[in-house]
Order: sequence, then C-alpha cells, then structure tokens
Amino acid sequence: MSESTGAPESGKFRYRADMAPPEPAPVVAKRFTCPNCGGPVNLELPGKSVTVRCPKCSSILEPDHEVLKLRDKYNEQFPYRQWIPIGTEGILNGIKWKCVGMVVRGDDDGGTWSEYLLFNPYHGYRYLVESSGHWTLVEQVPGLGFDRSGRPGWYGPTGTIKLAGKKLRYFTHYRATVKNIIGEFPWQASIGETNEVTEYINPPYQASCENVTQYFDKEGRPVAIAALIAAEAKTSLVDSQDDDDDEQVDDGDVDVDAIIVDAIISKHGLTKRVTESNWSIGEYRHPEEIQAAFKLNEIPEKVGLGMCEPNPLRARYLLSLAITGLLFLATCGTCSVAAGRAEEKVVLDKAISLSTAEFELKKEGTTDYLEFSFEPGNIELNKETNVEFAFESTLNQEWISLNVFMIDEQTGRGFIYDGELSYYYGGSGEDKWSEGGNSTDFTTEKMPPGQYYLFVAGATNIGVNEFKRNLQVYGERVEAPPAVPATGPLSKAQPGKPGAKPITPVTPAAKPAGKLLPLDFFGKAKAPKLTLQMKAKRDVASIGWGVAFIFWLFGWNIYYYIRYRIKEGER
Amino acid sequence: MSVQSEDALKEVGQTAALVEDGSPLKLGATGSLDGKTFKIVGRIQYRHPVGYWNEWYLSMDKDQGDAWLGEANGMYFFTRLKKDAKLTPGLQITSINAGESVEIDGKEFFVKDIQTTKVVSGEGELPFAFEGEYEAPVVDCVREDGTFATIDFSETPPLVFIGRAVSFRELNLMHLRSVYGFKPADATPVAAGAQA
Repeated sequence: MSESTGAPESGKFRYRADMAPPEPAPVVAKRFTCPNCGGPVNLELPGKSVTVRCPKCSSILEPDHEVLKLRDKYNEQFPYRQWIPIGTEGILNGIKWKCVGMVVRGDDDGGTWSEYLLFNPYHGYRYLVESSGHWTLVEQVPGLGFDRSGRPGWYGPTGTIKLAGKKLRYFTHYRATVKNIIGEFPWQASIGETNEVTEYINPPYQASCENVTQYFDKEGRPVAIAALIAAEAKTSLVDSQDDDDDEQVDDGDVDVDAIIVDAIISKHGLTKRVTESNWSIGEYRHPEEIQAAFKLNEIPEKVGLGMCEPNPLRARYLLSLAITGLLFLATCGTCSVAAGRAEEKVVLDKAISLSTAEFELKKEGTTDYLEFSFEPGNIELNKETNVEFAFESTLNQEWISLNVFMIDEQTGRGFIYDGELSYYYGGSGEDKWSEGGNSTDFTTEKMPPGQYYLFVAGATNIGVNEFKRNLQVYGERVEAPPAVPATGPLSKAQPGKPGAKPITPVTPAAKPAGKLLPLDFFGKAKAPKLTLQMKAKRDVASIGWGVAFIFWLFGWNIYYYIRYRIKEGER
Repeated sequence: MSVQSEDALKEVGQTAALVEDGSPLKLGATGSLDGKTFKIVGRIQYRHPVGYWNEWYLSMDKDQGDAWLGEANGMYFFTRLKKDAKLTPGLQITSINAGESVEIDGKEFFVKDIQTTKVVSGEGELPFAFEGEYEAPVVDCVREDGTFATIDFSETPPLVFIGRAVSFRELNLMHLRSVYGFKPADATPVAAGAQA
C-alpha cells in the first residue's frame, strides 16, 4: 500500500510512515513492591490499570511510571468471599476472559453484591455480577437509554427505556456504595465511593444507568472537590475521616456533609455538571454456566428470584395464556357453529276453536267431563330437532288436559306427549287465591326429521253442563268415527304437570264408537279456544357449556398469573 | 521529526513518546467494516483523567478516503470527519450537561460524556501536525439510532466526527498485537478453541 493511500487534502501535514516505531515490546504483567508493607504486588494490566490493591496489606495503590504510589493506606485482610479468585480465566460464549478485580458494593438497605471485573484486551471489560447466587454478565454500552419521548432516560422511574435495541422497564433506583475492592481496575477505585444507580429489566436482560457529576471552576476547569473539602476541613478544623482526598476527578457523591460541599461550591464559585451518562446492559447467566466457565468448585446458593432472571412461572403463565387463547378461539368457533346450527322455527301456529272438535261426555265417579279430539295438521321437521309445544287458552274455573300424538308418516313411528292447562281461583281480599294458568308448554326430546301427522286427544270440563243440556234437547248424533291415528310404538310420553284436578288419562284407542257429538255443540261463543304453537328448536346447550368452559379457562389463567406475580415479588 | 506537506516532507516538532497503553491494535493492522477494507496508518494517543484513548487513523482501500477508529478498553468507534458541520449556535463545552441535546447539521444528538483530554503523542501518518501536548476538550454524543458523534473543541470552529460505535467482531481486524498474555486468537470464539 502506498503512503499516499487515503491521503488527506493537500496542505495538511502528516507523519512519515517510516517514522513509525518498530514493533513495541510485548506488554505483560509487571511486578512491583508495595510502598506500605513491602510485599510483592503483581500488576496484570500495566498501562490499563490505574488502581491496584496490595494482596498483603490491602493498601490501595496507583501505578506511577515505574513504581506504585500509595493512595489509600490499609492494613487488613479482604473480608469477602471471592467465588472467582483474581487471575482465574474462563470462557464465556467462546471468548476467553480473565478475572482481574472484584468490587463489593452495597445499597442503603444493607444488601451487598459482588462485581467481578473480567478482561480481554480485544473485547474490553465486562462485569460479572453475583447477587444472592444469581449471575449477570454486564457490558458497558456506547449509547444511551432512550425513554418513550425519544430523549435519554434519566433518574427515577421513567417507565420503559430502549437501549441497544432492547426495551426494558424501570425496576429500581438506589444508591450503591463501594464496600470493598480487590485486584486492579482501570479507574480510580476507592472504598466508600457512592453512585446513584437506576435499573431497568426485561428478563433475561437488565440495564443500568449511572451518571457522573463533576465540579468545575469559573474558568470551566474540572475541580477535585475532595481536595477542596480536605483543605476546608483543615482550615476550619472540621475532622475529616476521608483518606481519598487526592483524587484527580471526583464523582461528586463523596460521603461528606452536603453543607460542607455547598459551602465550598459557593466559596469557589463552582458549577456542578453531569459529565457522563454511563449505561450498561446485562444478561442473566445460570450459575451452572459460570461454574463450568471458570471451573469453580463451589458457587453460592441461589436465593429468591434474580433481578433479571427469567421468571419460570412467567413461561407457565404465558403458556396458560396461549392455551387459553387457543381454547377460547376453539370454543368460540364451536359455539358459533353450534349457534349457527341452533335455530327456532315455528312449524305450526294455529288457533283452534274446539267447536269443530268432536266431543263425548264421560263420567269419572261424580265428575262429568268431555273428551275431544282434533287434528291440527301436519308438520315437517327438516332436521333432527326438539319441538316446543305451547298451548294457550282462556280458562275460568276450568281445565283442559291434552295428549299430543306425533306420528311419523313414513316410518309410522309415534310419539306421545301430554300437557295440561287449568285455572282456578276463589276467595276475596286476604283469602284470594288462584291456581294454574292459561298457558302451558313442553319440549319434546330430539325428534328425527320427517313429516309428522298430529293428533290431539284431550279432556276438559269446559261446557260440560251445556253439553249435557244439549244432549237432553237434541239427543246424540251418530256419525262415522273419525280416523283413529295409526298408533306406532309410543316412544316416550312426557309426563304432564300434576294438575289441581285429577286427570283421566285419555287413550284414543279406547275411544268408544256410538256415543257421538251433538250437531250444534254450545255454539261458537261458548266453544273453548286453544292456541297451539309448535316450534322446532335446535339444541344450543353446548354454548352454555362453552361459556362455562371459558370461565374456567380464565380462572385457570388468573391462578397462573397470581403465582407469576408472587414470584415476581421475590426479585 | 519530519512531516510532509503537499507531498513534500516537512519537519514538525518533537512529540512525547507513546505510552504503552496495552492497546491490541497497531500500525499496519487491517480490517473491514460493512465490506469496506481499511488499514491502520496512523495514531493519536489521548490521555484521559484516567487511562488512555487512541484515535487510529485509517486509510480506506479503493480510494475511499480516510477515517478514524477510536479505541479504548475494547470499545471501538468508527468515525469520519464531517467538514463544515453546523452545530447548535453558541455551543460551549463549559455549559453542556450529559443528556442534553446538541444539534449537528439539523439532527438532534444527545450528549453522552464530556471529557477534557490531552493529546499526548502520535505515530505514523496523520492528516495534521501537532507540537507537544495539547488539550482537547471533547464531547461525545449519540442518537437513538446508534449514530455517534465526537465534537472536538481543540479547534475553532470545533471539529466534528460522525460515525457509530462498532463491536470488535464487526471490524474483522487482522495483524493485531498480543498483549497481557492474550493472543489475537483469543479474540474470536472459533480461534480460541483452536489456539489451546
């Protein structure tokens, strides 16, 4: 490749390519001596790490050219359990990572968690966060989280945010304090440092935002406020316990009295500005995966539900929701087909004046009554169907009992149903009573399709006295008996309602010939009237079951949803 | 030290030596992004309050001009100089907060971070010369679609670089350095297995 490839505009300067230094010596770990205890300190990543902790005395040191400078003096042992020891290598998603540091942080509620700092020179740093036995691999994101308004998400519950192509919802906001550190870090780590953290989740993903604030002087230059606080503390004899006063840059959240900070701000005319909005995205990792990746003998026991651990009950709830959805659709489909097939069709609607019927006087004990019969006509049933009979009359201390014969004209098969109408009343005022009514209905079982011949045989006390009187006046009239219906096997008789009066069963076959009707039975005015309506009805009971089934499905769903929400509460 | 101007080498002042920052990139490394191949021909090393940052000067193959690859601790940004970019009128680095919006050529960007960096050294071919260290107040901005912009206030008017953040994998880098006991083969899952 020629030197002029990608040549900038003429007139610009450039270094000569031959000025490039020879291949630099490989960069490897360096050994130092702790300026506090004199013990050996290994710096794994010289050139990157700006903080390293002495493994012997725990002093916080800072590489400065060829020596380590003492930043924070300690003489103690690291008190936390290191599940992944510093220096351990592991392979995650096929990439080799080396654990170079560990930060223990805690919130104000006393909860603590560990952040293992993993390093690969080509891919950079990752945090492997362990909290209550749950592991999350966290990576810094170069972008910002955007809320619904299309602006960067900020402190506090901002609903949902979009980060790195993922939508996450607000979960929590807290202040995190560095409890302890071990290993080495590419930032000026110190114990006691605090950060405001906002967390968002969408299991298995989690995102967090930590903003960095910084103080500037009147010239717009960054100011190390900790140093100013220390100076202030000395001059005003305020006792300062802070050892980390020589920080070059401060995050502005040092744990000192806000009053002192305010005093210093006004004294030096400082301005506080948010200089960084650092977003990271994490993915839940199963403990077994971490154990295998780093070949760990032991890992901490899982407690509760991890912050971004996929809720196992969520899958079950969603499955139940999906099944419910499918079954709901299936049920709706079935029901609509059933409803489509369900129909109500009037097959016969007739007002019958019994004046045209044939009557015969009968006697049951001391009770006189009339037997009659008539043929309402033929009905046609197109499909297998239930038939609803509805009889109506106008009764006045009277009763009618009816036997309906339905005879299939093709097969000769017969069906018999009975019903009864009666209406009695009496008394007055408080003692007023009535019994029965002017209508009755009953529904047959399913009738096969076909042409049916109808024959109704009934009994009544209507006009019985007039009939008797007419008999005396006019005498009997003999005529050929009416066509007795062909009686096939009676499939089933639907029992009539128990009446207020004893009903004599009427059997057309037993109808005696000879005692026939008077020619002019009580005139039209007195003739009992009957309205008969027959409806062919297709059964729609399956819809009722469908509705019940859907309710059951919803109940099932609610159960799973409640279990899912309870589990969510463990986060 | 000599530097060329108008294809004639011109002497420039001595700059500080590069600091070994453990970067896995080096001059002569090649790569490709979105099918466009490039070669690293130059480098500017910046110093942050903590740590170092490199802007690698890229020569794009097939006369596709030049570009920059920002790199620090495994984060990579591919940008190109946007000439005569129109910024929010009166924009000053001393008054911006992270999260606030900045307009670049009529597009709204949001400030991600504000850094007062120092240019400490350089090597190889560069499109400009510098003498000694100089301060470079820099504002990084992003858009929701992932567009990334750096506004460099070391010049007036500020220099604007526009591009996007890229992952190591996307860059298909070759001829890398071995650092800290890691070999380039440890950078990709397939090779990592073969390397062992």
